[in-house]
Amino acid sequence: MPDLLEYEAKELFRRAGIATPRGGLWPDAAEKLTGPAVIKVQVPEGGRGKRGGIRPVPNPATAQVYVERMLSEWPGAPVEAVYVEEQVQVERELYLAVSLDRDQRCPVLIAGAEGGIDVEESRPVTIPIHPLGGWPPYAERRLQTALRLGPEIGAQVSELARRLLAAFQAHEAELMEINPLGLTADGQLIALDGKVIIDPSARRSLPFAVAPRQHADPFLERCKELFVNGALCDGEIAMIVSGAGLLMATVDLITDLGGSPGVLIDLGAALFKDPFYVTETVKMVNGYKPKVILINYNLQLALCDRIAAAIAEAFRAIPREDWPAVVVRQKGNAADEGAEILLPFHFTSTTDLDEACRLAVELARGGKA
Amino acid sequence: MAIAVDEYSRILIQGITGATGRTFAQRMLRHGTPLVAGVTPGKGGQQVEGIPVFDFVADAIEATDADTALISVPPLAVHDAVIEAIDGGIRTIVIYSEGVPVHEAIRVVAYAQAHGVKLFGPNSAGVITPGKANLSDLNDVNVPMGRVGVVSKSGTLSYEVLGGLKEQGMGASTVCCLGGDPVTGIRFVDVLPLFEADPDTDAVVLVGEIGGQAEVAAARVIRNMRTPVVAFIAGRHAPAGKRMGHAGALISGSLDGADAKLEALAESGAHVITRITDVGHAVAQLIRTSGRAG
Repeated sequence: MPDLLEYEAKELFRRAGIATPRGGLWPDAAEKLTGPAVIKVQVPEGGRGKRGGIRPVPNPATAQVYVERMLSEWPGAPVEAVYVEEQVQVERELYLAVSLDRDQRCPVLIAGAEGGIDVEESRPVTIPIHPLGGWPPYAERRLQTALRLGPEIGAQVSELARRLLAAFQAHEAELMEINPLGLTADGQLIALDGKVIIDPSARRSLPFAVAPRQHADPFLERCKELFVNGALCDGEIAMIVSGAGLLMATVDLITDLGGSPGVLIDLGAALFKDPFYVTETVKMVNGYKPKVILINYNLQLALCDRIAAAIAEAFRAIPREDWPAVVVRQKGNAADEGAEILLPFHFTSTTDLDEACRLAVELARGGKA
Repeated sequence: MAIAVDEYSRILIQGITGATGRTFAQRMLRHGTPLVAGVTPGKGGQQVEGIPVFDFVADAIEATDADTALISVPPLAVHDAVIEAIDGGIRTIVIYSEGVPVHEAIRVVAYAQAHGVKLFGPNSAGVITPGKANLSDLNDVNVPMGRVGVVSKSGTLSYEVLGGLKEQGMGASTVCCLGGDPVTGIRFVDVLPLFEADPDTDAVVLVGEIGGQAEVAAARVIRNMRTPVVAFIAGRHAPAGKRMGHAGALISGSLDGADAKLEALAESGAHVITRITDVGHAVAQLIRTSGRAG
């Protein structure tokens, strides 16, 4: 599931009983709004305000020209949609979020007295919500003091925080952030922005369908299809490795030797599925035209010869002139059989990881193996 | 004296009738790990490699006195499997499965803690005390017996460590893989005191990675240890902001990066290495200078 856009986050907040300004997607929502409004680009990144991605418009019905100008001047990620909402006057902007603390191993409530653009400048308080303790009794006092609120508003913020926490747990989020949480002159709390990240391993789907992204990262999408994990860097040495830890350690070794990492793949679950996925992964990586592909696998449960056969299949399908320099390091179950299978391809082969990395860097520099 | 699992463990596999569970069962029997039962709901009464399968953990325990569980079930069945195992009386659990929803990981970790149960994982490559018990995906033939304790978030890097030790003529006392998910049960701070107290462990290899504060917490424990520690942190050059396969290996703050961890570990007296391939030499040197056997 992609990170949610602001309008999707606000939909979850509304369903949780947390107030948001009236609004909806441009252009349909504009017809239902009157008075001063705000148009906002819907993109999976922050800092929109500082870059002209949030603009006031006097009247939603005539905002077309403002929307066009905003889109043409927007320097950031491709815009998925435009959101238009009524402009709300607030006296204060607070910060409120529920996140996961991996070291405390539980959700945490984070609250700050100064929300908005420079929230990092203020010092928010953190309240752990432990599975065995539930909502801590002192939370309301802590929120009231930390946010510098009177008892009445303090109680309201506490109640809103409880609702945010409930939504966080119900929807298996990793993060639910309201920044800023506005406090109006007449004491209403209203979520002016929203950021939600859902656990990729979540059991349940959301109560509404999340619109497929028009600008989803094609590399990441393809990795998902092939059951591998990947990161795209712009260097010359692509790496296809068994395991996330080994991938990171290989990147460290290559970089320390002066090499530049390119496409990075952790074969992950693909090691145990139909070899087709490994074959297609190799082809996909080659499609990025690396100077060198370093293939490194050390298999204790899976079988090297199976993986070697899948790699062989890929290179049989790729014209010889489109082959980069290839270094293969294989170790573990059936490593000898795997080496046998790749022999005819005359790749640079070794069982030693240091040597494999050194050779990869040398080949990238234009040297011979 | 091994830590966590040994020849007296009585092991059951939850998910024994699945492909991976079956493979683990075959290996265990081939190499003498004390496997006594399997549990797969609906397959009670069957056998896998001669090992009885039960519908419920409680039934398996009643029949076999099992006290240790290796869980290899689909990710959405893990929460159920862990609670059932703990309620049945299992005292040590390895969750091999990956893809467990993080909110469920939080609950099972808390449940295990409340019951004093040792829980490894989720997404743990497992625990192995070579020659005695193997609850991991490491191939027994590649894990030489010895006196070096290994504790690692990454399974694949533990393979490299063992290769490095083997090259130096050394071996492992126990290997503990903690898993790479952001929320896991047993942590470095839980394993280190066990190795420190183990008369059969002369040195420890700690393999961490970017993300979270577990290695910084480990440094505080290492400060008071007599057993020498070699430490490696993967991800010094990991591209910022990208998940590299381990959901937990995402830097979110300045303290989660490799440099901060290496600094804390070095200050605590650990011998830090920056190349995983240096681990064998580093341990050999430490053991020579500390005068222990290895």
